[in-house]
Amino acid sequence: MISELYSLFIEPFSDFSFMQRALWGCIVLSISATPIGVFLTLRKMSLTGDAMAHAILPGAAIGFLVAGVSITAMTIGGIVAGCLVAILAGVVARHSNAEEDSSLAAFYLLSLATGVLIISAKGSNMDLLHVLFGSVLALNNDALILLTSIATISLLALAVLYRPLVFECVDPAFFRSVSKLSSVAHYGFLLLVVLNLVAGFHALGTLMAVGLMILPAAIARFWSEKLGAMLIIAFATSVISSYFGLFLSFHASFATSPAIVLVMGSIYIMSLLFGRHGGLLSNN
Amino acid sequence: MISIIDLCVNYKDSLALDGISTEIKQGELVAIVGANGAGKSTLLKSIMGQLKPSSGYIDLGKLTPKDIAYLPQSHQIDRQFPITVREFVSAGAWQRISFWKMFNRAEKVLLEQALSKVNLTGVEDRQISALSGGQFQRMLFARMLMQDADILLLDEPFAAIDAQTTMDLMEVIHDCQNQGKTIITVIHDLALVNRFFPNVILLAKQLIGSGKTQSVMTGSNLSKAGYQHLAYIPHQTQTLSENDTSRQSEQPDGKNADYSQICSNPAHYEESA
Repeated sequence: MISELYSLFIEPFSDFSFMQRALWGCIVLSISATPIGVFLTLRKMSLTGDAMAHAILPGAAIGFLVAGVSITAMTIGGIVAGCLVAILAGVVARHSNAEEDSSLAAFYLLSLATGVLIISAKGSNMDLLHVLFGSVLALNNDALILLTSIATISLLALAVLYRPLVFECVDPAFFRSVSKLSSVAHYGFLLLVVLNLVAGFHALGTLMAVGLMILPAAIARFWSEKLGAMLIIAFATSVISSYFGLFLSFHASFATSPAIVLVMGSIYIMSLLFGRHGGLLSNN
Repeated sequence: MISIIDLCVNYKDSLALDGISTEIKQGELVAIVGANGAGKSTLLKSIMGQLKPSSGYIDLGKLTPKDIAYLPQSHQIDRQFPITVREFVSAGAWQRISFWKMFNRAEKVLLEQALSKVNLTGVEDRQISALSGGQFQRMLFARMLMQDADILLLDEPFAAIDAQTTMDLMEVIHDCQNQGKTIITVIHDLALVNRFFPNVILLAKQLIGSGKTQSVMTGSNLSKAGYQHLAYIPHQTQTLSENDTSRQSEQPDGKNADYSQICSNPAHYEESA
């Protein structure tokens, strides 16, 4: 019995290095992306995160165009494109009658279309699938080093920005009155979003990367009203979902990143029904 | 002293303040009064330095924007954000602790004192989402006290709170005034203005009047400020209570107005009129 359980649950991760790399990549992503996701949802910017995830595509595509499937080129391209779209959306919103969300939506649709056009013109359908849905089972050492580096930078930056970010989230008018760091906190946070989306893109692809940010954060809100607890719940949910997503992918030959996101989605629906805070069937 | 000299401010492509000139002395308690869109909050933001004048200027004397504490309208605050009362009030120490310094023992003492002054001792660890409207407003006052600033700017601090909380918070304001702080409050309740605020700035984008409350809050000034329904104050035959004569304001024509009754019960006013 124990050996059967071992071969079912442990063996895929102990015997296959690509599964170990995939799990390591997902854990590293969970460490850095879930706190960003918690702040995204608290700032009511979940859809902004989604738009930004699409916005990195043309940059990654240009990186692909220049250097093929090169992690460095695609990462730099993705970061530049993500930052550019975030800044452009903000500038357009300030200098035209368009709201920031509609300008962001316009830019991300343009970005997505441009990215798909570039990749499909130059590469194969496999390349397109790799960019859109990632290849977590094919993470190599370079990719893991990149994910770990981004996670380290992201966590350190978040530690510095934590206090201004909290105060800016809860009462922006007050924070603007006591500090000039309000816009630093806002744009610094957007930069962290872009960095984590680019990291997530290597593992889960542009379409699924935002799932690892938003879904664990949305789940955490159903189980706690305390920020610290929400951060821990979001991280734990992301790691558990990654494990079972990889598990399903290994045994049932499901596509990996959709499997991980679907496990998170199942937990989200259970939380939506039974969550202690705001669950449809809870008494609170 | 705060000197406002010929101040013009544009807000969202339209003129929000047009040629305002007035002075506010140190230690004064001033109400900024005006109809919606009169530029009251714009004036507060201009004093804070958040809005740049298109012409004119504001002179804070020896003080700087860092010496200003600001209490924003409560609807601007995300009340569902997962943060405790203690953490929220601690934001008042931002000028001293910034984003990296530890919250030391002295700050903790200040925080306890601020919470005690607004009768919030015992709820420090409660989430702000669990507070009643009155408790929430008390918490905003505690954060303002925590700032320990020389100038206090309050934007509609008594909106949607009960009478007892209003009285308690007015006491806090008076304590601050007794400490020599300058207090400028945007306020809609004319009864409160008449009763508690010795000085008024009456706005309608332009300055209608500023100075002692009784000399500024005249029928003709109120009419110019957009309070046409108060322009012709009827002779009052009723008062709130026998001891509450301070709520009555003598008009230039010798008639008395009980603003609290007018504001809280317009129907009564119309009948009287």
